[in-house]
Amino acid sequence: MAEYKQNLLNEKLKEREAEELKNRRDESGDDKPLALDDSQRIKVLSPARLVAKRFLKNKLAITGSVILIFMFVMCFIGAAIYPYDQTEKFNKIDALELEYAVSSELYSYTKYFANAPENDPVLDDLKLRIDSEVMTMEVKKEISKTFLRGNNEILLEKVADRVYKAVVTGELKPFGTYDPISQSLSSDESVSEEFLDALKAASSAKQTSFEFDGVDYYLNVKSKTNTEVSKMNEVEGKKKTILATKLVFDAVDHTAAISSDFKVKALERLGDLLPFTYEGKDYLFDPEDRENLLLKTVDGEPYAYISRYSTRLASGQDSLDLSFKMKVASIVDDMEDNNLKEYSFKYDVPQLNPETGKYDVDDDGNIKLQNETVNVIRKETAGERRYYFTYMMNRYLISIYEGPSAQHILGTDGDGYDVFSRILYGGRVSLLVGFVVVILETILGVIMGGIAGFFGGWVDTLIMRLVDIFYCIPTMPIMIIVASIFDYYKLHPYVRLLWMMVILGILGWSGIARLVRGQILSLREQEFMIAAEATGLRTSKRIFKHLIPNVMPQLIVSMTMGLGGVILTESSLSFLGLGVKHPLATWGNIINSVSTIEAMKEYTYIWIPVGILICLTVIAFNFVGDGLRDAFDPKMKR
Amino acid sequence: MDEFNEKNINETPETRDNDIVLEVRNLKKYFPIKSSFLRIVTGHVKAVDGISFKIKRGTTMGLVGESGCGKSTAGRTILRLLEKTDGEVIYNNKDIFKLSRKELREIRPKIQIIFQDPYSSLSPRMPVGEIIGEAVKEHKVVPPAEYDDYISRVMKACGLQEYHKDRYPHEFSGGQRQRICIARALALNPDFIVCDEPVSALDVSIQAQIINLLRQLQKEFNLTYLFISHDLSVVEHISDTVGVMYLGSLVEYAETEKIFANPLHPYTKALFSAIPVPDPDYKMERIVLEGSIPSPANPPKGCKFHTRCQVCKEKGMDVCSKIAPPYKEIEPGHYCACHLFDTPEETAEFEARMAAEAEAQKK
Repeated sequence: MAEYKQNLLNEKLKEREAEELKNRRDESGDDKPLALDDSQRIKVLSPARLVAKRFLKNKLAITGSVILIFMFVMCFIGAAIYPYDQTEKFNKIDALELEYAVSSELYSYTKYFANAPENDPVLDDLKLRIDSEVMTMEVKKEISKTFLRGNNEILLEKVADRVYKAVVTGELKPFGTYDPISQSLSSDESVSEEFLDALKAASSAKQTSFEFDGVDYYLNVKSKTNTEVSKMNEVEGKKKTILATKLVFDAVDHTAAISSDFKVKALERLGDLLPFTYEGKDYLFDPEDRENLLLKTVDGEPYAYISRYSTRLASGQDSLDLSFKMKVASIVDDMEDNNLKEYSFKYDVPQLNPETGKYDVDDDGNIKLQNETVNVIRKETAGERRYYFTYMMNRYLISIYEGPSAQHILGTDGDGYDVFSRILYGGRVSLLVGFVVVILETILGVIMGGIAGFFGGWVDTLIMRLVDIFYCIPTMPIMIIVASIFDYYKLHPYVRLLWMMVILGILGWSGIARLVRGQILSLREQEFMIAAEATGLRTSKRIFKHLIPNVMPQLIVSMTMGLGGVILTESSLSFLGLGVKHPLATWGNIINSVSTIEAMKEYTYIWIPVGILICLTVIAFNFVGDGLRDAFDPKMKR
Repeated sequence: MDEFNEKNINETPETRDNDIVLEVRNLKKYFPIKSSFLRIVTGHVKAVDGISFKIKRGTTMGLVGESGCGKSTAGRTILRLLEKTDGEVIYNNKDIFKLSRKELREIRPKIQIIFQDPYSSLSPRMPVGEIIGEAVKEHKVVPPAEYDDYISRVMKACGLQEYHKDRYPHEFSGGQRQRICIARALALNPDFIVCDEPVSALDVSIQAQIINLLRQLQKEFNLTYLFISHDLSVVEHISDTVGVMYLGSLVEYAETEKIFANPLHPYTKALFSAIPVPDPDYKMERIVLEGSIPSPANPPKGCKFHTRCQVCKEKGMDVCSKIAPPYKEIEPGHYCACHLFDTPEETAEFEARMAAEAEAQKK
């Protein structure tokens, strides 16, 4: 006990007490003190219990606490119990009207080469010319024409409707040079006088060609004294041929490919529909089915159809069944004739198995067919008509925007996530952000405000100017900038969340600092602070035992109100996509997922519950804040 | 209660011969007046303008004067709750203003203060027991084991019940609160307590309780008080010596009997003439001072009281408005600052100085 100085006062007080006790004993014979005993006294609660009692008497505060407890239990325990995760996608199988096939006429000619090697320069060049030549022929309704292409003479004939045949019939060869002034011809070949006369006549008449003895000669004036003369030599033997057609071959066995040569043979015979031979087999056009131009072998076995319409799967593959193609062709013909835009018919079509993504197959390996209503829609783009064949197909879908059901209490959102599960997880984040940010703000604010208020002078000026600066910093632009920085560094959502809390805390402390400073400035001048100084208390004790408890009510009110505010801020940031990033859920970005007016009208079950939760939480925090303030205030009589 | 009303309780030879607890020498406290915009110091409020006195152990010194004369400032400056402008405060041979922060903190419990307003001087969020005991713990006045009993004893000594400990100040009446303030001061086992108008906020019956409590405690624990009040009858009742302040200066100081029986300074006379006498037939001869107290920022030259001094006017004393009267011992133990008591030599000296000043002004 060395450190305790001898306390005369204490000794004297003890003596006095002993004396009193003795006197009392002498008088009444017992040593009971004269004061009231505990049962008669007014019960005095400890300060903490007093605060609790006052708080519990406040109905609003209790309501707020109950709501908050409910929120916490729901978000922290509920989320753990709830079977679905926040990023669990839900799927469903549903029938969807999907495009199955597309049918249309060909709008450009397909060209097949015959009697020529591959990449023959003459035909390759000719190929480019045919379309325009054919077009002029179609316009002029010509059946055949001859024209020069380079040094070649081409004979273009119409074989049948939509089938044209171009044949290289002759080739120009240089014959000699002719001088119209001297009227002399120099040539390797010897020429007759008649020929010279014909040449002269042609040259003087400025003709580009003349015929002599059944052979065409062409003149090309190079200069006044020089005219080239060329001779058209007929091609002997097999002539190079191009067949241009807008017709389509559909093999009966849709897996078999039809060779280009076969197509040429068949197309050549389309004019007269005579049988032809290909690779030793004879083929003929079925006389009973001229309409569909069915090609059969001599044995009567159907081989292929020639059709006006190209019918493919919507994916572009040509693996459609021939019968379907024929059906399509007849329907499209019908629609063309009657100028129909829409049509529907019943047909046996295959169904995809949504589980496997493939067609169901029966035991024989054939694709199972189901009778479905097939809708045909005509669409025209850039002058090209296409017929789309659609029917209801079963598909494996992400179940988006599903209404509330037993499986999903609040339905699912646009990503196929369970809304209720996201609300639970989002609540965790929102509440966590609220608490962490407010605690951070308060710590910073109390320290800065406390220092400013207690020490005053230039420290106060400095800190208060800092507070002014922080007041001027606009939160939204800063958060937008910060969010873009986060995006740049591709932070993990949780790391991003952490940083966001820190930044919100740093941006938000100024209000609390100002409050604390103001309170402390006024409290500092109170006599009890002077009394505390007079009793020689340490500065730290004076701040923490005398000042802070007196600032506490205001601090708690501002903290709880701040909590609500921070939850709102976080929600609005997330709503704007600046805060917590998808797929991590917060209450803000749950609402954000239905941010368009249509979605808001349509999917009320997503945003209304979240909105109510945000409102409830903020209101509850305010109730509890008010309740705590009243409870902390010993002057409150309630 | 009778024993407490005896005046001579402490005036035994022993206490008289005891050392001086506190000595104040020429203490000054000026408050700067700053211009509103640039914060330039444009002048000073001379709240305490050079006061000197000594207080003996176990006695009470009353400090009286009208409102705004600097009594409370003097009290707080003595405890270094305000930093002085000039002068010395010697407590137990130590100059309080020369102590370091730590030393000051250690000496704090020995010199305590009781404030005028018992409402604002108690922290509203602390239970009474803690208010009283906080500094006791801090300064280790008693061992931890005895702490609770000690606080109870101190509270009992101040007329509070033990069960009041857990209550908050707002649950108490003004008198009880003042007792709590006294208990807080007393618990630190002080030598010296500045009572800064401890009863002026209370009603008369409570005033008597508190005054008697203070006297009782003084008797029991040999405390020394500086009792600041403008209530003269209370001061007369409790004090051993009395100092009268006017505009920051001490104008008269003497033992209570002497000063009440024979006030020397015209201001003291005027002040004491206002003491009501509980006798309806008694005709009071009140000296009514004209005008109001001058501004302490710009006190009158010479004797600060000369603007309102009737004696000065009647006698037409020129010296009062020119030269400040010296504060000196007129009778043994009776100090006064007034030109009425100038010795012939002093008069001559002052006249010479006045003449010289007049001369200088002419030039």
